[in-house]
Amino acid sequence: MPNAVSLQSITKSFGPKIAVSDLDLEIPEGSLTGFIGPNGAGKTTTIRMIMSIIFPDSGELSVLGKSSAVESKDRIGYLPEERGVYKKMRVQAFLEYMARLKGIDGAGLSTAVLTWLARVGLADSARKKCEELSKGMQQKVQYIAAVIHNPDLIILDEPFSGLDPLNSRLLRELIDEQSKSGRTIIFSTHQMVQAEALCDRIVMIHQGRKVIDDSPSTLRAQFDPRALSVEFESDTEPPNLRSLHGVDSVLSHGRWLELRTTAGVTPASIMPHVAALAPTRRIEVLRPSLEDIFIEIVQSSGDASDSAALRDKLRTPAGVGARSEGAGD
Amino acid sequence: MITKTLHVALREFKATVLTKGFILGVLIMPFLMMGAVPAAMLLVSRTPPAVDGSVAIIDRSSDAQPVAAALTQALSPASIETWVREQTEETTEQATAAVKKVAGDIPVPDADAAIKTAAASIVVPKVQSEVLPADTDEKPAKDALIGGDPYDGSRLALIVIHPTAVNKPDADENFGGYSLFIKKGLDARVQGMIREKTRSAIFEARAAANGLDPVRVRTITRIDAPDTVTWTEDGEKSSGEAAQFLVPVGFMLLLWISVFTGGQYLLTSTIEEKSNRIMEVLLSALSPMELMSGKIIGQMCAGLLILVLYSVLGVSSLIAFQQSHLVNWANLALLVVYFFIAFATIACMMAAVGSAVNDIHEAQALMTPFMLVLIAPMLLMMPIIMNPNGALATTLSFTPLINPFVMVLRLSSSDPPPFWQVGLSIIIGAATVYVLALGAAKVFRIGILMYGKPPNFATLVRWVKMA
Repeated sequence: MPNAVSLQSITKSFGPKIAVSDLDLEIPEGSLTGFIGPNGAGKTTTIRMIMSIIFPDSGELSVLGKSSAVESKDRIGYLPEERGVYKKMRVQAFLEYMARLKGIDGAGLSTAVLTWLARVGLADSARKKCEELSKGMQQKVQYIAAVIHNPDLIILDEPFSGLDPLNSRLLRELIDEQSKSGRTIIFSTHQMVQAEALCDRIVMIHQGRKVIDDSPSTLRAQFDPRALSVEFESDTEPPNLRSLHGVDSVLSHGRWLELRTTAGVTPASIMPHVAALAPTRRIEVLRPSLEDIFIEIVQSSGDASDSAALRDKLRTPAGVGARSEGAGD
Repeated sequence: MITKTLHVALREFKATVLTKGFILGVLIMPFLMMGAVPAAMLLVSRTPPAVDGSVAIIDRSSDAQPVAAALTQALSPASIETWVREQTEETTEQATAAVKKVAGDIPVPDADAAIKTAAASIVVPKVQSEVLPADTDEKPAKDALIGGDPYDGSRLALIVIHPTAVNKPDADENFGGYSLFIKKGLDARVQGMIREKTRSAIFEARAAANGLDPVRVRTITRIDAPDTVTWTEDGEKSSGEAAQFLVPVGFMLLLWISVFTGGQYLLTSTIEEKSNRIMEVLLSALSPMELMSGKIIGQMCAGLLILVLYSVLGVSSLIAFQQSHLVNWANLALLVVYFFIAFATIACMMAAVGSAVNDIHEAQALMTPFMLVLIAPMLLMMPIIMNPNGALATTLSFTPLINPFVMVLRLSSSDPPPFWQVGLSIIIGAATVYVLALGAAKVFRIGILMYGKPPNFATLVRWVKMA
């Protein structure tokens, strides 16, 4: 399958800060790729280079078969992290304006806009000024502006930030629809759960470098589970649990315990022995989350940061504060 | 793609001109001003207020005190009332003429009646004259001016006629005059009335001392100044000297207002788009250059609308006042050419600054050096009009950034510049725009995605070099 996006040895610096370093990336056509990493990892910078909003210092780049997105902007839908609307413009007029900028015009435009507004539950907001909409509603309008011209490639930078659970679910459905209709989708997020739920491909970036590039299932297969989740009927921990052969450590999470196994011992192999110690309500193998995988990779690559700090970094929502020249995260 | 640029331009134009601020500020203001001028003339009266007090006179000109006698007569209630009526009639006649000029053929039925009503309701100042002996000590006489107010019957003024005011000992010397001391806060129009009456009284005393009839001397020495008439191919055209200054100033102000109004809108709309975080959304559809060009074209059209509208109003007024010969139609065409150069110059700066800053306050700080340069033609307006082909005017005509304004001044002056200078200034202006556009595009491309600490002038220069 040909690639919708291809990056080869891309490097971008802002002054002394290297935002993206020697990045290779290939996004096959029709794939739904999650671009994940903590704030400041280089996600937005990479996306902006794909969009030709900023340009790499070195390396080769190809988007939809062209050497630059400039030549195929009308085939790309982009929802940037820094997104807004014309506050004084009416919603329908704003969407029609954006569609015209994407090369869509003609009699069917108004109908297309109204259909999209109805699809996201904003049918009665067409004549409202954008400033009258809530932040979540504005975000849905911005999403429509990104996809109204039926692009072949859709790039969404932190599309879920600021959305309530209901609207997050709606957006997931919309992204899923676009994916099923064969479009290539790249979306960046710091929420690993969203990426795990949606993507058929995960690219993880840390400090400007790619640390993961695979499907979620392959990733999980690569990173064998090495822990059990156990909930005993009694509130007290069985006395011989920690001295059980193959148990490396026991972490308490309130009502349940996390048992980490020593190297070479599978969680499944010690499961009967744990169950024999005391009656259990629940016992299951703990599958590693993307977050766990990310932390393991970063730590194995020599990063001195401890797990808690890395988890905090991953869970902090992307900010909109001061930043250096052109650099997002 | 040119279509995208035009879509941006159209949105920018509509978002600017279809706002209440633009319509009220730009479109309605000239009409309000046209009505305000005659209204102000009606309201501003030259007649003095109803003061009540005395005017003391010390006549040291001779023992007979001829000036004091004439002044006492001139300051009598009947004489003052006659004088006030004459002043009121003169003012109302001028106001009527102004109203009729503006109204043209439109009948103004109530104007005459209103003027008559105004004339009927005049108030006459109550002034009593008080002749003091010629050897009176000035100090206590002046002290009587202190305290009270001009309406309580106290002393309003002290006039001291100098000893040589009427008779001079030496034929080669000039006559003496008079000193006027007034109460604090005395209305300027009352002062004017006292001055005029004193001058007249001295004149009468001098005439009498020389055996002349004052009325006859006044008649002999009076020569009314004629209206200057310009002789053209079409015959006589009146041409006041004031008009020769007003036309260049009008042309330059027209250019200045249209360029800076459009430029200011460009600056604020760029800052607004940036603060609304709409820039990156737009950049997903078009290039920074297309976006900047579209914005400049849109605001240029808004500026051009102002220029055309005000030009039409100005030319219509001149035609209405039979002054159309003051407008050179070729100059109007050149005004449009210089508008494009001036606007593009300002627009490049506004777009660059607007893209680099986060709010209007930061923009003002960054615009200060540019504004100091651009204000120069306003400050040098009079020297340029007085000597439109002098070294200063010629040098400034070839100075980048300000040459459109200077050339517009010179073109509409009484002595327009030679054609080669017009051509050269246009070439310099176009080259300036080209260089500025290259720099502005680079700053714009970097600036629109920048937030946080605003750049200083040196940073802008660095962006131009690095981009």
